[in-house]
Amino acid sequence: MNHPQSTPAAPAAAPAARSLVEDVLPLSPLQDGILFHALFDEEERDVYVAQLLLDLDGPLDADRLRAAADTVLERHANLRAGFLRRATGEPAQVVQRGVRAPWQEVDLSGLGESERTAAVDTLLAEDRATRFDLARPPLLRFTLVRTGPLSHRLLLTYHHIVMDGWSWPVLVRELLALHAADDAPLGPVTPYSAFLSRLHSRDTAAAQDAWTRALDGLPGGTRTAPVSPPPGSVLPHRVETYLPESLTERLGALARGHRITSGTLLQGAWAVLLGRQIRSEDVVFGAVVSGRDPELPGVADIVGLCINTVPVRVRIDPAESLVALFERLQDEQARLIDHHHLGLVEIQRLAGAGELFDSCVAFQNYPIDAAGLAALGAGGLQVTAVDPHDAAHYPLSLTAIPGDRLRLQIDYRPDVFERDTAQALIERLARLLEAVAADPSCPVGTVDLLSPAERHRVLVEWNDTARDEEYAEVVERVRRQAGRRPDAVATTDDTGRELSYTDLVARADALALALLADGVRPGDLVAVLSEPTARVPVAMLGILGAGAAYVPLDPEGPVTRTADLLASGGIARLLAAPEQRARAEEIAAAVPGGLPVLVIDDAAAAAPGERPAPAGGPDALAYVCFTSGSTGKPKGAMVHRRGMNNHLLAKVEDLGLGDGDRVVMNAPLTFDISVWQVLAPLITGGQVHLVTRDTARDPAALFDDAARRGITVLETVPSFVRAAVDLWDTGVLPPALPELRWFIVNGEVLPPELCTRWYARHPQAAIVNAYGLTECSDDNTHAFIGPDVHAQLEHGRLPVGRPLRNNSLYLLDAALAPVPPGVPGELFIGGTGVGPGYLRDPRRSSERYVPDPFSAVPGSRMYRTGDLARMRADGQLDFLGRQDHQVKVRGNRIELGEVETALRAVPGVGEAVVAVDRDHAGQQRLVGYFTGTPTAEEVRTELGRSLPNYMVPSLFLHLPQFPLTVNGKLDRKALPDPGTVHRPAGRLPATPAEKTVCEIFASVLGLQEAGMDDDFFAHGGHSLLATRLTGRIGTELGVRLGIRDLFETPTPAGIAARLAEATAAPARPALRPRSRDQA
Amino acid sequence: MSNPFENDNASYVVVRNDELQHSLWPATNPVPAGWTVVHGPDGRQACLDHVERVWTDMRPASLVAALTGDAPRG
Repeated sequence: MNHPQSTPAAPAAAPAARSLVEDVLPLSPLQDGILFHALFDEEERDVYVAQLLLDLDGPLDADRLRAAADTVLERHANLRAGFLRRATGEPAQVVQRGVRAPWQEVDLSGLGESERTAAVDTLLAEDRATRFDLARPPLLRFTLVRTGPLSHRLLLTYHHIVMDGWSWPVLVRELLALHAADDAPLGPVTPYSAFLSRLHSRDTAAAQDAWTRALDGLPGGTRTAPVSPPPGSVLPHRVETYLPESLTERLGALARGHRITSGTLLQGAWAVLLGRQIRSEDVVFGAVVSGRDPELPGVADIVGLCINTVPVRVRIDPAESLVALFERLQDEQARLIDHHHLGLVEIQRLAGAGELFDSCVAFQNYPIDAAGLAALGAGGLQVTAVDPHDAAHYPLSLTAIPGDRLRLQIDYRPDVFERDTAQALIERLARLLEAVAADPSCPVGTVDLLSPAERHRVLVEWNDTARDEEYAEVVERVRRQAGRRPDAVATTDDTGRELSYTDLVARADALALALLADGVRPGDLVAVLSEPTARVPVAMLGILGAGAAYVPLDPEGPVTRTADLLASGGIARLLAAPEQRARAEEIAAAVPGGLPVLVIDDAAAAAPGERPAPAGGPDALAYVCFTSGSTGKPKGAMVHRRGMNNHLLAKVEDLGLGDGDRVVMNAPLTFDISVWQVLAPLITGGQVHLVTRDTARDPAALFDDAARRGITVLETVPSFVRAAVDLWDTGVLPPALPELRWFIVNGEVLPPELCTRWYARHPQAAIVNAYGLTECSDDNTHAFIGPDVHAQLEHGRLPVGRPLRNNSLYLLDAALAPVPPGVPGELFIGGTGVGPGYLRDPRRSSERYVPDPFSAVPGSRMYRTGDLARMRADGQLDFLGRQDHQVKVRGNRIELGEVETALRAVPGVGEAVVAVDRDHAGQQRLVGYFTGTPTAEEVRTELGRSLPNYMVPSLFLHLPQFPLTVNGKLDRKALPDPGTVHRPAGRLPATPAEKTVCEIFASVLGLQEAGMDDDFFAHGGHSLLATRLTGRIGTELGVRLGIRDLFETPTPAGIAARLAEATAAPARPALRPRSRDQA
Repeated sequence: MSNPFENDNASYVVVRNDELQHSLWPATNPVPAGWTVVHGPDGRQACLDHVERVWTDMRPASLVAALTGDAPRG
């Protein structure tokens, strides 16, 4: 034989077999890949072990069949090859002489039918589990099972590296022919080496060029697996379905009519399905191609591994018709047929996008129909059935097997996909094919893949939240509680104020009357400037009682920004706490045309029954909350009373709130969650306790307060939870919170590990993971996270739960059609919570608050959240992320665009970019990069005047110029890591205490080294990191500082001085409490 | 993934309900019950410009009626 590709050198191993070596061949690219995987995990089960089970009817001579098997091996040299790597790493297949077929015989004819079936199954499984040693040929073995005098089953177990599915009909035909007659006219063998020669003579450059063009611009690979498959191999599981005969016929006719192949039709359908599954318009998956180049004579008779797996890239245009997509795909694929020989590894290298796909499609067109089987028989022996178990190592593999009814199989990795997921997928594929047959001209984007049952489940069953309730104003509900329990405490605060229900109602009514007397009319907006004290509930109820709407202001917000939003929002009055009078007047003076200020009169109390006439109604505004806006201006989300009431009642209903509950109001007033924290306890006869801003941002202080006050419900953001459990981990004892019933977390993704750590300390306080939008009246879902945290994870996430009362959740695709459970979609929220819009912003309102096509109420609206989410099989929502540039830092919604706009507006700043990264403690923070003349400190000061604190980046980095990509665009990835740009400021520490303080500073801030004058806040410090820092100082130096100490003297020098003052004093509250006078 | 409300190349309409609330809506989708097309089909920006021009009182019509005793305006 003459093989140009054969290498004369002997292999590095198998010296004993040297004299037996007949030939040494190179490997095809796919063989190379299989060899790599097989050697990679030698301990694991080898998924490339394939099986073929034949049912043979007729007289069978076992010895003759065995001899036939030996002859087949003799004919096809590559079936006698072993595989190894040379010392250079290059693989080789070494063909040996005189290899016989391993042969085993089993007689099961004495067993009953069911026992026999079980015995065959066991045999198959055991044989499949037995690994081949790839270095020792042959990589196949036969087992002949006698099931009756004239019936046998022949099991061929082989390693995929020696042959593909197109080979076995050749092999079986030869086997049976030789069984029938020793001198059967089999014709010449086309050796595998001929295929290899042909392969190596192909034009590689042209193929590289073709694949580069085919994959150009692909944004990345297409992953169907929700999680990265664990390393190693797992035997796939299978789901399958048969299409109805009529559908099979119609699809066949459609394919013929449009001159497309059934394979193209299947690939096109899979592309559409994948695009829907992963929400992408550019997908890629693998296709198994025969690799049998028709120009090679006798190619169909090769027994060997000729197939290849190549990527199929499909761009999806939702407006294109199904049939047009198929035709286009066929054209695109036709251009690649000549290049199917290029190895996948090489193709992926050309694409430069890493692993391109994890799903694979094969159209099996080797003969296993009746006619095909009949052609295999010889003599009296006929093949009556064949059952190939081919190996698939992709997380998802689709196989179509032609027949009167097209058979679809999905093999899936059971460690990656649930059976239900695979089953739903195959049903969706069948529906898609049905849609193709029904209307091939249907635009791709509008094909409905939901079954009627799924549609009903996602739209109706899971949104079955309707509650009928007589509408009552919040003020009226609080008065009812006052009538029921006049002397019960309604509200308390950190300044020692305490108001009974009678006091609260009397003051609120007096305020309502004062507002009306001052000229406020129902429907007006009244802004409130106050620290969080017991005056806040009075102000909220007073404003609502007057028929007006409440607009909370940030008591430390920049004057110009506050004045701007008052002016642009058309605010009618500014209501101020007495100690805020001067600031209120300053703000009012900055409003063009001025703004009347009214100061809350603590002494005013209305006589019983002296109150304004009821005003408002369900559609009247309750409050307006300003959130960050992408265009550089904050937007005011309006919430009507029906929405607010519904949310309050949802909290009461889900948490079972009653007059024994004490809820802490720790959210910033400008944060809409403060609304329910204040009002939900008051409509049920409970108490609300308002804490100072200092307490609210200090986990140690807040939980101490919660313990002292017997708080039953506490809500915070995950980053705060992290700071608290981190603190407790440093040795600070967590306070006992026996009365805390509910621990609500919202505003950010909730890491499961925090829940576990929480429950380890506070098992009695159940975690609620809440999700919602200010625009939709605060929370829209609640998930109850039980102590078995890990059991509630899906793809590593905790759910955010089910819709609250009178809320609907819709997950929609780009055509605004509902997506199936498990598939990501954009979240839209419908129902009572959907607010009227953005204050004085019709443009933005009209594109976010849109018609709700699923509501039974004509003319109703839904809110487009911009969030990506997925429905679990049990109807709980999983939050997946934002679709835009909005980020959340410590629970605050921030549009990076607004911060960038403000940064660019600082005099002297050239360019500006704001990015989010994680600080040393794993918390998210904003980093501002800028060019121009000002220093970082100047920029920080300036931004503090135009933005609220939470939007001012933690760190500023001045760059001489921005890194650019080759296209001249900003290269975000090349922005310097903040941790790498620092020189210690001030003198270096001298005393042991100073050294420790500097070390703690550096470690908490993630700096290499800190100097005595390094400012905590200039290096990205924030209140939660402050807790960490003071906690460490407590454990390492034995002195308990409050975070307020750090706020006042934020450098190692300052802290060292405080330590010196406090050294003699015992632990807390040496320097605490220190809350400012807020009377 | 193209967003059905944020495609500057797609065609939109402006729809209005009985509360005189205005919304952007993709022209290719059926108009939901209770809504009337008042502008378009047109480009996205043109539709938003129209909304800005005509939706000057953002209060729901029924609320305006309740507050003022006026009949809702068209």
